[in-house]
Amino acid sequence: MELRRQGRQPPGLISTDDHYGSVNHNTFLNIESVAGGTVDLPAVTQILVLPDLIIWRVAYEFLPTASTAQ
Amino acid sequence: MNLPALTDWNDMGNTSGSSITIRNSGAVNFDNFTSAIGVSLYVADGLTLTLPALTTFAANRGVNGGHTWNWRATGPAAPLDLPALTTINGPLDHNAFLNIESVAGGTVDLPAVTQILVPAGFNHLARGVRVLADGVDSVVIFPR
Repeated sequence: MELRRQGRQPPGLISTDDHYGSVNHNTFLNIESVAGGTVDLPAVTQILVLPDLIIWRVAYEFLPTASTAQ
Repeated sequence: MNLPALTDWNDMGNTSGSSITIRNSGAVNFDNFTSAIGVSLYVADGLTLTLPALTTFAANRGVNGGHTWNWRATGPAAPLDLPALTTINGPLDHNAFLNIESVAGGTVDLPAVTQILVPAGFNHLARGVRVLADGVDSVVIFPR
Protein backbone atom coordinates (compact mmCIF):
# COMPACT_ATOMS: atom_id res chain seq x y z
CA MET A 1 0.00 0.00 0.00
CA GLU A 2 1.23 3.47 -0.72
CA LEU A 3 -0.17 6.92 -0.57
CA ARG A 4 -1.32 8.54 -3.75
CA ARG A 5 1.55 9.75 -5.83
CA GLN A 6 2.44 13.37 -5.70
CA GLY A 7 0.38 15.32 -8.20
CA ARG A 8 -2.54 12.94 -7.99
CA GLN A 9 -3.38 13.68 -4.40
CA PRO A 10 -5.15 16.89 -3.43
CA PRO A 11 -3.56 18.69 -0.50
CA GLY A 12 -4.85 17.45 2.76
CA LEU A 13 -6.07 14.12 1.46
CA ILE A 14 -4.83 10.72 2.52
CA SER A 15 -6.07 7.95 0.30
CA THR A 16 -5.21 4.31 -0.15
CA ASP A 17 -6.00 4.45 -3.85
CA ASP A 18 -3.01 5.31 -6.03
CA HIS A 19 -4.46 4.57 -9.52
CA TYR A 20 -1.79 1.94 -10.18
CA GLY A 21 -3.43 -1.12 -8.75
CA SER A 22 -1.02 -1.61 -5.86
CA VAL A 23 -3.85 -1.43 -3.35
CA ASN A 24 -5.45 -4.74 -2.62
CA HIS A 25 -7.19 -6.50 0.21
CA ASN A 26 -5.44 -7.00 3.56
CA THR A 27 -3.41 -3.82 3.16
CA PHE A 28 -3.20 -1.09 5.78
CA LEU A 29 -1.73 2.30 6.39
CA ASN A 30 -0.77 2.53 10.05
CA ILE A 31 -0.26 6.04 11.40
CA GLU A 32 1.35 5.57 14.79
CA SER A 33 3.07 7.53 17.51
CA VAL A 34 4.70 5.33 20.12
CA ALA A 35 6.95 5.77 23.15
CA GLY A 36 6.33 9.48 23.36
CA GLY A 37 6.49 10.07 19.62
CA THR A 38 4.50 12.69 17.77
CA VAL A 39 2.70 12.53 14.44
CA ASP A 40 1.63 15.99 13.35
CA LEU A 41 -0.63 16.20 10.29
CA PRO A 42 -2.06 19.70 10.60
CA ALA A 43 -3.44 20.02 7.04
CA VAL A 44 -5.07 16.64 6.58
CA THR A 45 -8.81 17.10 6.15
CA GLN A 46 -9.86 13.72 4.79
CA ILE A 47 -8.86 10.10 5.11
CA LEU A 48 -10.32 7.89 2.41
CA VAL A 49 -10.18 4.15 1.88
CA LEU A 50 -11.75 3.42 -1.47
CA PRO A 51 -13.33 0.19 -2.65
CA ASP A 52 -10.09 -1.40 -3.70
CA LEU A 53 -10.81 -3.97 -6.37
CA ILE A 54 -13.36 -1.81 -8.16
CA ILE A 55 -10.95 1.13 -8.37
CA TRP A 56 -8.15 -1.16 -9.48
CA ARG A 57 -10.20 -2.42 -12.41
CA VAL A 58 -11.15 1.08 -13.51
CA ALA A 59 -7.54 2.24 -13.30
CA TYR A 60 -6.34 -0.69 -15.35
CA GLU A 61 -8.88 -0.14 -18.09
CA PHE A 62 -8.44 3.57 -18.42
CA LEU A 63 -4.72 3.94 -17.76
CA PRO A 64 -3.14 1.07 -19.75
CA THR A 65 -0.01 3.02 -20.68
CA ALA A 66 0.67 4.11 -17.13
CA SER A 67 0.05 0.61 -15.81
CA THR A 68 2.43 -0.96 -18.31
CA ALA A 69 5.10 1.60 -17.52
CA GLN A 70 5.06 0.55 -13.88
CA MET B 1 -1.23 12.20 17.18
CA ASN B 2 -2.35 15.53 15.89
CA LEU B 3 -4.93 15.81 13.10
CA PRO B 4 -6.72 19.02 13.99
CA ALA B 5 -8.11 19.71 10.50
CA LEU B 6 -9.48 16.24 9.81
CA THR B 7 -13.23 16.35 9.18
CA ASP B 8 -14.02 13.14 7.29
CA TRP B 9 -12.72 9.61 7.55
CA ASN B 10 -14.46 7.37 5.08
CA ASP B 11 -13.48 3.73 4.91
CA MET B 12 -15.32 2.24 1.97
CA GLY B 13 -12.88 -0.61 1.46
CA ASN B 14 -14.26 -4.05 0.88
CA THR B 15 -12.79 -5.24 4.15
CA SER B 16 -12.92 -2.14 6.29
CA GLY B 17 -10.09 -2.00 8.81
CA SER B 18 -9.74 1.63 9.90
CA SER B 19 -9.40 2.41 13.59
CA ILE B 20 -8.27 4.92 16.20
CA THR B 21 -6.53 3.47 19.24
CA ILE B 22 -5.04 5.17 22.25
CA ARG B 23 -3.25 3.32 25.02
CA ASN B 24 -0.15 3.45 27.18
CA SER B 25 -0.15 7.23 27.80
CA GLY B 26 -0.90 8.09 24.17
CA ALA B 27 -3.07 11.01 23.13
CA VAL B 28 -4.86 12.16 20.01
CA ASN B 29 -6.33 15.38 18.68
CA PHE B 30 -9.25 14.96 16.31
CA ASP B 31 -11.06 18.10 17.37
CA ASN B 32 -12.81 18.79 14.03
CA PHE B 33 -13.56 15.22 13.06
CA THR B 34 -17.27 15.31 12.22
CA SER B 35 -18.08 12.32 10.02
CA ALA B 36 -16.88 8.72 10.20
CA ILE B 37 -17.62 5.74 8.01
CA GLY B 38 -16.30 2.36 9.03
CA VAL B 39 -13.91 3.43 11.79
CA SER B 40 -13.38 1.41 14.96
CA LEU B 41 -12.46 3.13 18.23
CA TYR B 42 -10.42 1.72 21.11
CA VAL B 43 -9.31 3.26 24.40
CA ALA B 44 -7.64 1.69 27.44
CA ASP B 45 -5.01 2.26 30.14
CA GLY B 46 -6.87 5.01 31.96
CA LEU B 47 -6.86 7.38 29.00
CA THR B 48 -9.71 9.30 27.39
CA LEU B 49 -10.68 9.20 23.75
CA THR B 50 -12.87 12.17 23.00
CA LEU B 51 -14.09 13.08 19.53
CA PRO B 52 -15.85 16.32 20.38
CA ALA B 53 -17.18 17.17 16.92
CA LEU B 54 -18.20 13.74 15.67
CA THR B 55 -21.90 13.94 14.82
CA THR B 56 -22.52 11.01 12.49
CA PHE B 57 -21.21 7.51 12.13
CA ALA B 58 -22.03 4.95 9.45
CA ALA B 59 -20.73 1.45 9.12
CA ASN B 60 -19.01 0.39 5.96
CA ARG B 61 -20.79 0.60 2.61
CA GLY B 62 -18.64 -2.01 0.95
CA VAL B 63 -19.89 -5.01 -0.93
CA ASN B 64 -18.57 -7.80 1.29
CA GLY B 65 -20.16 -8.82 4.55
CA GLY B 66 -18.74 -10.56 7.57
CA HIS B 67 -17.04 -7.53 9.09
CA THR B 68 -17.21 -6.19 12.64
CA TRP B 69 -16.54 -2.66 13.85
CA ASN B 70 -15.85 -2.09 17.53
CA TRP B 71 -16.06 0.87 19.84
CA ARG B 72 -14.48 -0.40 23.03
CA ALA B 73 -13.55 1.25 26.31
CA THR B 74 -11.49 -1.05 28.53
CA GLY B 75 -10.87 -0.47 32.20
CA PRO B 76 -11.76 2.22 34.72
CA ALA B 77 -11.17 5.90 33.98
CA ALA B 78 -10.78 5.17 30.28
CA PRO B 79 -13.84 6.70 28.71
CA LEU B 80 -14.76 6.73 25.07
CA ASP B 81 -16.54 10.05 24.85
CA LEU B 82 -18.58 11.06 21.81
CA PRO B 83 -20.50 14.07 23.12
CA ALA B 84 -21.89 15.35 19.81
CA LEU B 85 -22.78 12.06 18.15
CA THR B 86 -26.48 11.99 17.33
CA THR B 87 -26.92 9.23 14.75
CA ILE B 88 -25.42 5.78 14.42
CA ASN B 89 -26.01 3.96 11.14
CA GLY B 90 -25.40 0.25 11.30
CA PRO B 91 -24.03 -2.05 8.62
CA LEU B 92 -25.69 -2.68 5.28
CA ASP B 93 -23.93 -5.94 4.59
CA HIS B 94 -24.70 -9.44 5.75
CA ASN B 95 -23.08 -10.85 8.89
CA ALA B 96 -21.78 -7.40 9.82
CA PHE B 97 -22.05 -5.72 13.22
CA LEU B 98 -21.10 -2.59 15.10
CA ASN B 99 -20.24 -3.57 18.68
CA ILE B 100 -20.40 -0.78 21.27
CA GLU B 101 -18.66 -2.19 24.35
CA SER B 102 -17.52 -1.18 27.79
CA VAL B 103 -15.54 -3.85 29.59
CA ALA B 104 -13.69 -4.19 32.90
CA GLY B 105 -15.15 -0.98 34.29
CA GLY B 106 -14.97 1.05 31.10
CA THR B 107 -17.30 3.84 30.03
CA VAL B 108 -18.75 4.62 26.62
CA ASP B 109 -20.48 7.97 26.80
CA LEU B 110 -23.02 8.75 24.06
CA PRO B 111 -25.04 11.56 25.61
CA ALA B 112 -26.52 12.95 22.39
CA VAL B 113 -27.40 9.80 20.45
CA THR B 114 -31.05 9.88 19.49
CA GLN B 115 -31.10 7.34 16.66
CA ILE B 116 -29.55 3.99 15.94
CA LEU B 117 -30.52 2.84 12.47
CA VAL B 118 -29.88 -0.36 10.58
CA PRO B 119 -31.18 0.61 7.17
CA ALA B 120 -32.40 -1.74 4.49
CA GLY B 121 -29.31 -3.27 2.97
CA PHE B 122 -28.13 -5.55 0.26
CA ASN B 123 -29.82 -8.49 1.92
CA HIS B 124 -31.51 -9.37 5.18
CA LEU B 125 -29.09 -11.81 6.75
CA ALA B 126 -27.69 -11.15 10.23
CA ARG B 127 -26.41 -7.64 10.79
CA GLY B 128 -26.93 -4.95 13.37
CA VAL B 129 -25.68 -2.78 16.23
CA ARG B 130 -24.87 -4.50 19.53
CA VAL B 131 -24.38 -2.78 22.90
CA LEU B 132 -22.49 -4.51 25.72
CA ALA B 133 -21.58 -3.46 29.27
CA ASP B 134 -19.49 -6.30 30.74
CA GLY B 135 -18.21 -6.25 34.31
CA VAL B 136 -18.55 -4.19 37.47
CA ASP B 137 -18.90 -0.45 36.78
CA SER B 138 -18.87 -0.93 33.01
CA VAL B 139 -21.41 1.41 31.47
CA VAL B 140 -22.69 2.57 28.12
CA ILE B 141 -24.45 5.87 28.61
CA PHE B 142 -27.30 7.02 26.38
CA PRO B 143 -29.42 10.15 26.91
CA ARG B 144 -32.27 9.89 29.37
